Amino acid sequence: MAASLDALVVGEPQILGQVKEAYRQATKHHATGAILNRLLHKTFSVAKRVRTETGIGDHAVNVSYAAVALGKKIFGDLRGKNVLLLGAGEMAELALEHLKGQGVGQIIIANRTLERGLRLAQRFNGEAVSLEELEIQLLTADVLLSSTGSDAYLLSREQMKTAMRRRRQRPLFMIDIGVPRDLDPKINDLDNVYLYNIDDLKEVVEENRERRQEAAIQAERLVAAETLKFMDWLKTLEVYPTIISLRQKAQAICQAELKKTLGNLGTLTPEQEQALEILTESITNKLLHDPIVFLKGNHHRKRGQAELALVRRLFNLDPESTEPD
Amino acid sequence: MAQVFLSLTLLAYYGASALFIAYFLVQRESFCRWGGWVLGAGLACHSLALILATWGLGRLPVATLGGSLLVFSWTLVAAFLLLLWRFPIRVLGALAAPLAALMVSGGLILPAGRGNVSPLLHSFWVLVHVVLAFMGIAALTLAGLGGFLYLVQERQIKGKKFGFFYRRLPSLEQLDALNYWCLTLGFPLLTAGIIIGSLYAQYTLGSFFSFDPKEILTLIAWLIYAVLLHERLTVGWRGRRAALLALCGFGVLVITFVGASLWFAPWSPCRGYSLLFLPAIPRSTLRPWPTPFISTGMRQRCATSLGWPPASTPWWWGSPRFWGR
Repeated sequence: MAASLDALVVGEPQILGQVKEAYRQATKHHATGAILNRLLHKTFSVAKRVRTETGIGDHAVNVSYAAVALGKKIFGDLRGKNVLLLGAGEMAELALEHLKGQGVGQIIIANRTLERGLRLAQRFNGEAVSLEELEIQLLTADVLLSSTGSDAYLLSREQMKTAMRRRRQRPLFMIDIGVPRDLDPKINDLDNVYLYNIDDLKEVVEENRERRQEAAIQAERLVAAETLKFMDWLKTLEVYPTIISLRQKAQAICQAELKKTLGNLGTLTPEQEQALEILTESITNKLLHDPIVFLKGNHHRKRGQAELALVRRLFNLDPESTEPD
Repeated sequence: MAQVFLSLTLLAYYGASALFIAYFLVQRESFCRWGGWVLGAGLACHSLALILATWGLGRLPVATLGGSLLVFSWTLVAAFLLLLWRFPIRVLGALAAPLAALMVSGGLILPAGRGNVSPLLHSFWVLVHVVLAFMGIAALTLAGLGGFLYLVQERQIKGKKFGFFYRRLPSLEQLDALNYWCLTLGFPLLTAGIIIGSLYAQYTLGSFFSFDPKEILTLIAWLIYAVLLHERLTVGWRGRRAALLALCGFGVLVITFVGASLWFAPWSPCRGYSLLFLPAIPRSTLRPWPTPFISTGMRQRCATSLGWPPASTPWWWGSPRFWGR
């Protein structure tokens, strides 16, 4: 789950963050034990491996993310790039929010009704202009987002050609999310202009989704292998109660016998008493050594339960269950 | 001894090539770092080999195609390492390192021929001419390689097909900046190299320009770069056109460098010389060419008014064996 293979959007990076946060909260309140600690640490490392080895998060699966990723491939860095927004639709707002998150420079909003443009400009700390100024504003913009509902093209190829000459060919990234199109698709033939419309971006996103699905299959395999390892470790944990009760039983016998013997022997010096204690203890320890090694080492995934039961029966560690016999 | 160092150099260059190509394929940072170090070690060996060869010959080993390949690959690697330190375009290593490795291989395979070499080649000015021109060409080569990467990446973005290269290549803006910097550094160096070469030719052979195919080709390459730089600075040419022109210029330089030595060899007066404005055979034995630019009398007047040739030769002119006679 932390690798976000089950999420609605496969490979979403936020899931891991959420799991991490939950774990942090839990540890703060001392609500985690040894098993949970190990499980979560393993989870984090596996989630990280999934990201780096399968590249599941490399491909943007959201139109806005895809646009930002493209912008980075064109400009290298979107910081300080000027954004010009044509129209003030909801989609554009969403995309603008993403761009703003990338630290873009000036934001200029050109809308038919200046009022709505002004409101949006206030929200994004930008500037509102009217659509008539489009050609002048084109000269300073680096990214152009267009989402007007206009029926005709706002910009033709010829207009763009002159604009590019006046811009001294500085690259321009144009995103047309209007339906019908606001920008002449032929603009993309010009040098240093990169025009993407909403369908192009959706296609990119679709492709990336498929790629993520492929990566997810790889990731599943990775997770399965790691799960198996963890379960093995968990199984070894099962033998510890048996080992502990084995030791406890041996120690109880030791103590009881020691008490009996000391009572029979009469007065002894403390050194002698200690020597006897050490003697009994080492005898039991040596006796128990092999069964414990057997339990720890030979623990087998399939036969493990049977062996464990055998050892418990052999040493009569579960009196209540054997009593009915 | 120089041969031993050259073999080590070759080994290092091939190793660095493998590392840079591995970096290109899997995009793991450590490969690039190691590639840089290995290339640096190779450069150190290469420098030693060149110093030894220069000491042994009493001049830079640029009289043969093999020798000039060795010298040129040195400047190319040095320029690339400088670039790697300054620019984040590491993918370029996957092109530059193999190119250097191939050139060193060529230098080792082609006959070194110590035969008849014009004493003119021993001059200090030839050394300056060669070093400046080669440094310029190295920078322009990198511009050409960067232009190639730009064209590949631009094709991916314009075509809206995001494949193998899209993810691995840097952004268009970075590649364009590479083109610009390499051009602004390489062009003045090449120009200075050409000017010094032709001045030296004029001083020793009596003509600035002898209409040799190699000289003409060099002039064509120089003109291409001049046009590119001019258009970049005035009209703002960039992106695809700049990349294409840089690639064209590089192509012409390659033809000049290799082709002229091989194809035009039998009838060329500067057989075996790479990119030098110096014919191997003294001018007097060649077919007489009219001096197109300046008459002899005017030349002499110009020279004397500039204090040329100097009445007393300064310390750096000719006397030590190392520089010439």
